[in-house]
Amino acid sequence: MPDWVALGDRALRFARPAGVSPRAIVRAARAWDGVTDVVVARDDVAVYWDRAPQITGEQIAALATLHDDQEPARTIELHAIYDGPDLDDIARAIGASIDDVVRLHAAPTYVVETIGFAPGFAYLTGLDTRLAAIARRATPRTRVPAGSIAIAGGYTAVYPFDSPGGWNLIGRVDERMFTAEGALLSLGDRVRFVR
Amino acid sequence: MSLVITKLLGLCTVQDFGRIGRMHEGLPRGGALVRSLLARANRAAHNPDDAAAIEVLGRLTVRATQEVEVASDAETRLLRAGEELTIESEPRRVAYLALRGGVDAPVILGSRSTHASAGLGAPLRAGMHVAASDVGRRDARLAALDLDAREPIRVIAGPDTDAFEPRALADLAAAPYRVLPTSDRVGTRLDGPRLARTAAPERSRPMTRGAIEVPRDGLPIVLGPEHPTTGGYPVIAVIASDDLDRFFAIRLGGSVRFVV
Repeated sequence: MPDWVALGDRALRFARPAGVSPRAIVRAARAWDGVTDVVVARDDVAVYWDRAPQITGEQIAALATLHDDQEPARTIELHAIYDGPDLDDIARAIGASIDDVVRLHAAPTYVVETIGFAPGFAYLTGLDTRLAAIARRATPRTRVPAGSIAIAGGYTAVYPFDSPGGWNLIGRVDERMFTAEGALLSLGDRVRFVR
Repeated sequence: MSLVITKLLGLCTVQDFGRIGRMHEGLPRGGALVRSLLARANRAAHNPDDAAAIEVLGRLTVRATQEVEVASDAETRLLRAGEELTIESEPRRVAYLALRGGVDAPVILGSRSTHASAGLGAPLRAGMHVAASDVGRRDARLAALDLDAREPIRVIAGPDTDAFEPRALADLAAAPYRVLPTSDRVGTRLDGPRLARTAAPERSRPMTRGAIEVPRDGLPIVLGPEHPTTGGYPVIAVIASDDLDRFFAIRLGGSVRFVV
């Protein structure tokens, strides 16, 4: 039976089941009695209640067998301009040209693995292995402009708001990532950067 | 229009009970820092508990542009046109100014709450007008409030127990912490015993309001209504939901004790 730990007296945290779409996890857990919210992080899931959590091991185990084929993933295109201040550093780090870095970043179709850090901040997986080797910057910037395309630690992302940040900046998108309608990207979405 | 803001010191925003059900988009609930205090002001103004009101972290002076019934804590007042009223969060960290009918502000994603870090709404400024809305009248008894009780704040240990030295949990409860003035609606920073961490690596994990996270320097930060939904600092304990209001009511510079 899977284990869980208390995150205070209104939430539980447990290991994220492998191979299951985060969207399906959110939908299933939000249907549990009294559940108000679900957060799917890289390795963990947290479920939040409006009362003391009531849960069985079977419910958590059932998440590992979920399918969500009935609703195909959306593909969202983001319009990218690759003019970020860290392109040079990255090109040097992987021994390639700036054009190569841009090509490597624009080629894949990414997937929203988790959303956190800031409202609408989507961690995208699918980065080319060479770019995936790039770590965070040694010194974070005190201000990263909203819309910045960034890479670090195996992920790429777009900063939804002006905020401090330690990722490497390679460009920017036209789209607003979080608005009065909510987050532009949802868990499980496929994302392409279009030049 | 009902009120105009004539003087403002600190942070004043429109708040209700916040937005539920969007944490998977990275948006935490937000809303009032101390919900029971908001509810109390609303009851005094004959509003439903969750009506939008002005949250005052500092000091706010308003002038009525026409007759309006307002309430703060348990005190109801009828302001005539031209009359001024000053609301001060001291001796607590926060106070609420409720208007009969609730504060009128656009409903975004189901709430009127300003959530600055999500770009929803904006802090109030001197010269701005605040209008009353027309939420239905509701009469409810004012409940007794235990916000000022001196008992320690109860916490639930974990979940990241393995990221701390064994004595850290005892250290958290051993001596009072001071609530630092750098605190905001995202996090409440504390100064006191440093909590020793192990070499366990940081992992970005789900967070919650009331989580006591500990950066490398060992000084705890308690997550508030606008907390990030995921964070990399380990959480040594989480404040009991029944004690959240009492914790967030402690004035900046005040002291707090925890009990596990």
